[in-house]
Amino acid sequence: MAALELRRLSKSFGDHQVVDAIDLQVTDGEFLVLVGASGCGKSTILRLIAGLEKADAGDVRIGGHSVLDRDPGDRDVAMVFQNYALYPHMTVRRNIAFPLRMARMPREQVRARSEEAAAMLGIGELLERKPSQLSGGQQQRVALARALVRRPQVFLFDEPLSNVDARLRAEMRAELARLHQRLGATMIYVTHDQVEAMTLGDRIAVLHQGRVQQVGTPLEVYNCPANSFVAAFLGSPPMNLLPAAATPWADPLGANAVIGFRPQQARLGGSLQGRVELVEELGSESLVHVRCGDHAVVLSLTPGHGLGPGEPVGVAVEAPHLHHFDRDSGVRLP
Amino acid sequence: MIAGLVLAALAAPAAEYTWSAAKVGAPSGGASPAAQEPVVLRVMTHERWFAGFAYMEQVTEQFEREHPGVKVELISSSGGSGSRDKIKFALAGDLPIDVTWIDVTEFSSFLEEEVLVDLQQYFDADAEWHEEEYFASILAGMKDTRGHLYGLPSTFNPYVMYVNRSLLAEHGIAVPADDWTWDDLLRIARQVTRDLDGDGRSDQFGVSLTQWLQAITPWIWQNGGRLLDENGRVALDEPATIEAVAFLQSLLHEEKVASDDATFANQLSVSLFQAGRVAFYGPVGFWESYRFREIQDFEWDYLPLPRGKQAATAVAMRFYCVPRTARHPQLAYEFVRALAGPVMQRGLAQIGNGVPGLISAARSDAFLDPDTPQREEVFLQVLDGARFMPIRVNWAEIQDQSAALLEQALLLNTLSAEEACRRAAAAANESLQRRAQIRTRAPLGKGWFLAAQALVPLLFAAWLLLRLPRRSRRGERHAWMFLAPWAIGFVFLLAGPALVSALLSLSEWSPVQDLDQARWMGLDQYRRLAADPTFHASLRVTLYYALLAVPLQLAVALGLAMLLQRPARTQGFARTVFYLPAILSPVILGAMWRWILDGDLGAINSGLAWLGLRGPDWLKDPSWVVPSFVLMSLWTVGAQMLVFLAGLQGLDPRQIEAARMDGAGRWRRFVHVILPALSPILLFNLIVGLINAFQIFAQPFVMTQGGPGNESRFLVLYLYDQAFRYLRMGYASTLAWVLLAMVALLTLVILRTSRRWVHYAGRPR
Repeated sequence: MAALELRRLSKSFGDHQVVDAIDLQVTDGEFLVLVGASGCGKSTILRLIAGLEKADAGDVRIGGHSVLDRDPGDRDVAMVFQNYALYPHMTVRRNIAFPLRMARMPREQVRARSEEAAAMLGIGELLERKPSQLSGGQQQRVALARALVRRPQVFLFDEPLSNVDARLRAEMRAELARLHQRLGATMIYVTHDQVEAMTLGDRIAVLHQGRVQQVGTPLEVYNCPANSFVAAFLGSPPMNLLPAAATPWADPLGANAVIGFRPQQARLGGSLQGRVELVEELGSESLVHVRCGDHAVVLSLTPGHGLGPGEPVGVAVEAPHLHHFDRDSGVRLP
Repeated sequence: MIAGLVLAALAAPAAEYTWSAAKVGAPSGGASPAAQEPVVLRVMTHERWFAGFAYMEQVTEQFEREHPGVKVELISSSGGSGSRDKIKFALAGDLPIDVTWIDVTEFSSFLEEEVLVDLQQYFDADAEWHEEEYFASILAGMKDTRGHLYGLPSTFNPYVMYVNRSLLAEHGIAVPADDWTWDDLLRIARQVTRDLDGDGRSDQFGVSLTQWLQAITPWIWQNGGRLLDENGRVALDEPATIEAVAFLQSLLHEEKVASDDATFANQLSVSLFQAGRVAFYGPVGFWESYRFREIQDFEWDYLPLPRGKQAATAVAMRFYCVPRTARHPQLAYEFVRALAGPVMQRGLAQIGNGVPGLISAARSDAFLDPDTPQREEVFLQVLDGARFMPIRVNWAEIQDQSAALLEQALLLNTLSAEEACRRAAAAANESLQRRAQIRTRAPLGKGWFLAAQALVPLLFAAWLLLRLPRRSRRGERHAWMFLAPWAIGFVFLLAGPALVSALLSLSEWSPVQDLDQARWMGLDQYRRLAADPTFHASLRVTLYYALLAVPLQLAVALGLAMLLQRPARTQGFARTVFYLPAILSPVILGAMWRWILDGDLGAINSGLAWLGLRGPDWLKDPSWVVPSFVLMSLWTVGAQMLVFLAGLQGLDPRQIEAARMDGAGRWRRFVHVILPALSPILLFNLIVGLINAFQIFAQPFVMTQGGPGNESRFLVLYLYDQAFRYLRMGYASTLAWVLLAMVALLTLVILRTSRRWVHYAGRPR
């Protein structure tokens, strides 16, 4: 296993700057999640690391060495694709063994290692099947096995769970977490799903328009978003953001700030006046949409609050739970 | 395509089988058209190819003026080697042709098939007919054994020698006298033959020898030989004949003073004579003067052929006659007379198409043009020793059969003269015997063919009726309604005729005759095929071609597809350009490639010469002719490329990236990922390519006519020869069925083995 470092890494397609001078350090054995909306450049970063795209500028270093001039196969990096990219004409056994055969490993060793990888993922029974005879989850495991059979320095995952159903996704998430613990490998995981990001990552990097907005542990990023984009991106429902002028709360920098608070941290009975527009009952929580003048806020309340559309309410948020951002740059204010 | 062949073989049975009202009896006093309804006289002509067509139109207009209510429709059968067969197609298809031209070498076969109207009675009834106005020796070529006249000449062509006077003068040699001999020819030829560029091969020759059968016969006759003996046996194996052929062989291969560029296939290309690099060119007819008149660089003239033991020459001729399909025989007769009249005859003489058969036209200035430096009178001088090939034998067929053998002696020097002549005679006599033998077989009766044609629709209808009434199959009934257009076509136009052709393959029948004349041969046809050396040669050549062409085509098509798949600004343009040859007519391709592959002046050899290399004589070298066709076929892989391209675009790019990540280089990605993913397409292209390879026809038909020897006589070409040149539709059907069986068997074998190497697994979900 090895550490990975991106230095001023840039990539554009035509006029479109997809990755913009990104710096990122991933320590040995770390599980880093790249999260962002589609088109933010997260998959391109992964492909730049893999060597499937050529960087315009900057450097990719694995284990302290630049790998830019190496072919994808020589970077000691394995990748799991969104659609798994299994070889349809090969059996599971041959799929898993393929990277080892390409490395001209002795036959016996290939056999032992692929069976070991298959066993680790619980697909030992499926070795003689073709991918078309497998379920989505099984194909996913084959793809994982094919990646880990090489014992690479870095694993790359490109939204591997986006094609499976919700139940299986939860299961595979847990599986991946276990795998990371067991292998202790450096893993970089791309997703647009904040739940995956929060649950899987040792750290997460939030990307927007080809730039890293914030890197930190899930809780750091959640509790202390570096800017209004990160604040709005993470959390479900997203953080409420209002111009300071529209709130009754004190603003350290005058009217030029945006005040944010998470729906879960608002209570009823405060000084922010509004009227209920809609109530969504989710069972464990109840989402109350409130209109305050020109702005809408969402509160997450314990069910049984008895509010209905049209009712006037007051919203209260304790001072420590209020976040302040610069209105123009979106940067967090102290 | 197989289906197409079967259909072609059945073009005749599909038609109505009565000779219509045109069945000729006594002269009926001409057309008696219903009032108002114009009579259409259909005339098959070959003149459109030449400037003579203007005269033809002139004659036609005059004829229409003189025969109010008659409209003459000129149908062109112009073109190269296939034009003779066109008449047979028309006759086989029962097209109501009133007047057609035929080649004199085929006269006997048309007589034998009884497809020509005996015009003697019309001549006898015609007060204005004066036989003495035409050359008697020429009319003799159009008479049957009873002396009945069947037609009148368009023009005729006695074989003479063309001489390059300037070249002889350059070497201080006098132009030989008209009574020159074989020895004179050899002597002068030795003096003139030179290696001008010092590459060890002669490039200036004494003589350029034409080598088709009719051009060889003068040498045989001059040597006292004969084509038929008194028993009607082909006598090509008699000593005088062998000696004559041996003389020609020695000119070509021992003395090396003769060039072999004047094969029949080469007639349309620029010859050595035109290039001024040969002293004598022949034996050949007047027709060459048409293009030689363009020669500016040297003086040339006509000479009688050199004498052997006696003076002799052959006569090539096309003449107009009336086929039995004629609807208006009297009018047709009159039009034949008009075509042989002064306007047409003088016109044709003027443009250099041949010698007019009308004596007054031949002796006029129109032919003996005093303004040309050449002595046209030579063609009239040689008429004394001029002969036609004896009738009773289909020389066109024997010419085709013996051409390959004579080529082996004269062109390739792989057979001795004696062996070639012996084999040619044996083949010709076997064919004559067979013709006689077929006549002894019992006619099969048309009923069998009609039954076969009817059987398939009946069986199909019965099957449908049994199947459809069941309630549970209502949906199927609807399906059949939608399938009906296809099903009806299949049953009536494909399956029925196919069954008829299966029956035909067990019998023998000439397509220009009524189906009643089909004779039952049983498995004899298949036995004969198994022992037929030409079929063996054909099979060998076809397999060799398929073995070479199919894998190479696949490789080239796939390679191109992979190149053109890459995104590039010119991608669309490049794809179009590479696909374009695939939509060109194979005939045009053939004509083009004949030039590209020409041994002396072709693009490829010119290119090689520029690099200092000497290319082979692609189409005439037996070891290069099949590779030439392979090379050419690689030019038309556009369709296969397109299918591969579609397959490549359907490939999941992530799989290829995954393979890159897994450490597979370009080649191993191709072998382990791309190729298996394309395997279903590979299978498709393989099978289609194989079927196409077995059906190659148009290119060799246009480019080589099967030569040299039988080295490019592909199966379908041989099938065509049998069906439409020799009129053996039965044997051709036998061939078609054997071809079908072979292709089906090969396809089956490939499909069986494909389970091991073709992967149908789709992209994972």
